Amino acid sequence: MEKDRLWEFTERVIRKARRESLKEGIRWALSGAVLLEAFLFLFWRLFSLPFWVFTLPLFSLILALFFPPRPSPQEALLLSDRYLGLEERLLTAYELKKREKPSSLSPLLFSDLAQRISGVNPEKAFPPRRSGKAQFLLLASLPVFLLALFLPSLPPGSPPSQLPLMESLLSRASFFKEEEIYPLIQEAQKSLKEGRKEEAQALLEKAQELTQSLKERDQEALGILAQDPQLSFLQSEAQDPAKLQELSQLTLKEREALAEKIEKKLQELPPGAIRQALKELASQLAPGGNQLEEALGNYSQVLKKESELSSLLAEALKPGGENGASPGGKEGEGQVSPGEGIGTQGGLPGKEEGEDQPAYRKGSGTSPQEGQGLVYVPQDLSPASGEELTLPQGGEGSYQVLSPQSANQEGKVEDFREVLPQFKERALEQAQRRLYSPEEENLILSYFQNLEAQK
Amino acid sequence: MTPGRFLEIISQIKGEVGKILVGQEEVLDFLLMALIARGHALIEGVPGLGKTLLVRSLSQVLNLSFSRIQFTPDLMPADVTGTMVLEEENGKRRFRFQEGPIFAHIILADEVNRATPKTQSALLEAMQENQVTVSKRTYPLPQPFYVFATQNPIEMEGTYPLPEAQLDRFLFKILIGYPSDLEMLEILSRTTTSYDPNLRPVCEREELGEMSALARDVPVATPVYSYAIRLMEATRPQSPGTLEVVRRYVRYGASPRAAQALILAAKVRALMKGRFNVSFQDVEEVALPCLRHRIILNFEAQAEGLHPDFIVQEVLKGTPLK
Repeated sequence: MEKDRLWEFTERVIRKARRESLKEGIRWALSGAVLLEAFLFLFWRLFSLPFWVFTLPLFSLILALFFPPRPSPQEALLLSDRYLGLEERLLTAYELKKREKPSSLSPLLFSDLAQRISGVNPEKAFPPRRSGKAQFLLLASLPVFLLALFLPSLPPGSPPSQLPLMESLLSRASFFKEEEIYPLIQEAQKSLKEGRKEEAQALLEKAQELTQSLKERDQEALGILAQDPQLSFLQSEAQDPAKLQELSQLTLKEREALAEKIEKKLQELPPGAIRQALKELASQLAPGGNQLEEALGNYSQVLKKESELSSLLAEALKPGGENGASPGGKEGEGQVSPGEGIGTQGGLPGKEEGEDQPAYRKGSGTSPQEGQGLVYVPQDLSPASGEELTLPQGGEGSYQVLSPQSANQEGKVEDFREVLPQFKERALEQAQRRLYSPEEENLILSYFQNLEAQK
Repeated sequence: MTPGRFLEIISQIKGEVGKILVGQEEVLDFLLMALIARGHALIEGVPGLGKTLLVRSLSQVLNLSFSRIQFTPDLMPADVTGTMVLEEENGKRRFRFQEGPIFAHIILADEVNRATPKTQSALLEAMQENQVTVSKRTYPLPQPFYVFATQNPIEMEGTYPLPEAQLDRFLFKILIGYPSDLEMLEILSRTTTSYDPNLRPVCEREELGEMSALARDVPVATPVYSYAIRLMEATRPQSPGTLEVVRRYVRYGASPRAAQALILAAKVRALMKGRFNVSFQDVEEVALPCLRHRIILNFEAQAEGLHPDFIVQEVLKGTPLK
């Protein structure tokens, strides 16, 4: 009777030990799964969150349930012995039960043990196996996991600098909200964040195609405008905001007439950003329009924004590539823009009109050399001269002078003061991405400060 | 022999020896363990700590014959084992074996390291086989047979350290320390007066044998056996995964006889504690006296003044229970 009670006790202790081990295994499995998820999210972003956040722990749980850590009876009883202070009595009794030739002291041992465990609940005879390590792992993994969830996503395999690039792209594309380009770039950004790089690439390529098509339609629209003597100024002045501003000086009648003329011409223009901006301009010229300044500003920005968007798209489609820096900056691997290089004209910003007045020229066609920066050539140089000029301010490193001949198509000439903020912004943006050494960064900053001082 | 009687005898022995010896309870416990486990013991301590008195008292209490051999450099093996003497009886001369002092139940080999290795080795056969061989004849020693050897740790001049083979035959190496002030007070009050206690035997020789048999019957669980084996292996510098301190300072680790000693001594300790099984703690408690003389340190350890006890303690700390 006493012995039966003893064996029942040992069996229950062993069962309890196994249950505790199972719980422990589950704790370890869940902790491990959460920590693994946290690190995968944090460093690789290998999978989409909603699916794996449940699947990985579930998989671990199933593993723990089907392959639980099973302590041997000896291990279980050893722990119980130590927990109850039985000095290996339980363990020895369990082994004696199975021995063919038990010791002459066995009955005494059983009796002694039975007496010692008489008031002990077998369920409480086993130390709760709360592994500090497993709990620490779980506690440590949760903050990492939460951190991983709230940190901005990094597209796998992409340099971190691609995120600001996508932001810049979105900011430029927002100018063409009427077009499909903006939602495409938005979608591409989302795909990159979720690690679908190929999908993002495809979307950006499509956005580039649309931008190219938009530019062609706008060039066509400008060509149509150029053929109309009354509206040709819109073609040539599109890039000269100062002259466009003269429209606001027109009388009411002149404005109405111009608005009508533009309205009629709109029928002939292909759909695009120019047409849209002109439509807006016409509505503001018409009686009741009170945002003429804004409409004029938008119209003057169309081509510039298109070029910027096109350049940025080209940059985004070339992973790891970066645009060249400023004059004297380091060589990059990127290109200015496929199909439309950004040439610049100008020399030292002159104080007298017509004398080395800085400007920049936009032309179509690929930049002749990858990784080159913006170079000023004198405005008064005719495209035919093709003369290459050195930089007005000495810089370090290599640079390429882009003369108008380097572009395949004729570009537009703009005043350097108009483009200076945009160029400065881009240079600073790249500087923020740590693309330059501190010396180069200082050189760039001083370059723009000099130009601004002469502005 | 019942466990109750076992504990009663132990208690009585302690009581009787306590009449003569003050303090040194741990030393007495280890000596009793050695007696019950049928093992020999090497006792190390400075002179005047009562080593001889302790052993003599034990033999009186256990009703065993006692023989003290003072080991000196000129002591010969025959002085220990005995020799053949020529005697004449009825006009006939013949050689007769004259038993040496080793023919007693308890031998106190006093200052055993003062004798030459040749004489020391005369004890080897007696300790292991419980017999001596003289002139091609073997003479069994009285049973039970125990050798309690003493040695002085401070006098190294003119001594011959015991060979490893002989050291291994001692179940324990027991260190005797100085008594405390209170114990010293009691010693003085007993030894400087006419106090002369009369020790009475508490058990018969046969009962000691029964106690040994009972101790050998104490069950040991497999994990406890494994622990003893792991402890023993952990003292060996060539064992895989051994501790750095062992690899660095130990020349030779414990022999398999050390594991036997550990388990036997642990069994006796368990019974002495009123338990019917061996626990891990039993093994841990007897590890120091069992292993300290079986670990041979290398030159680096000796140069750094390390004691084998340090190694054993490190091994105990570094060996998990399972």
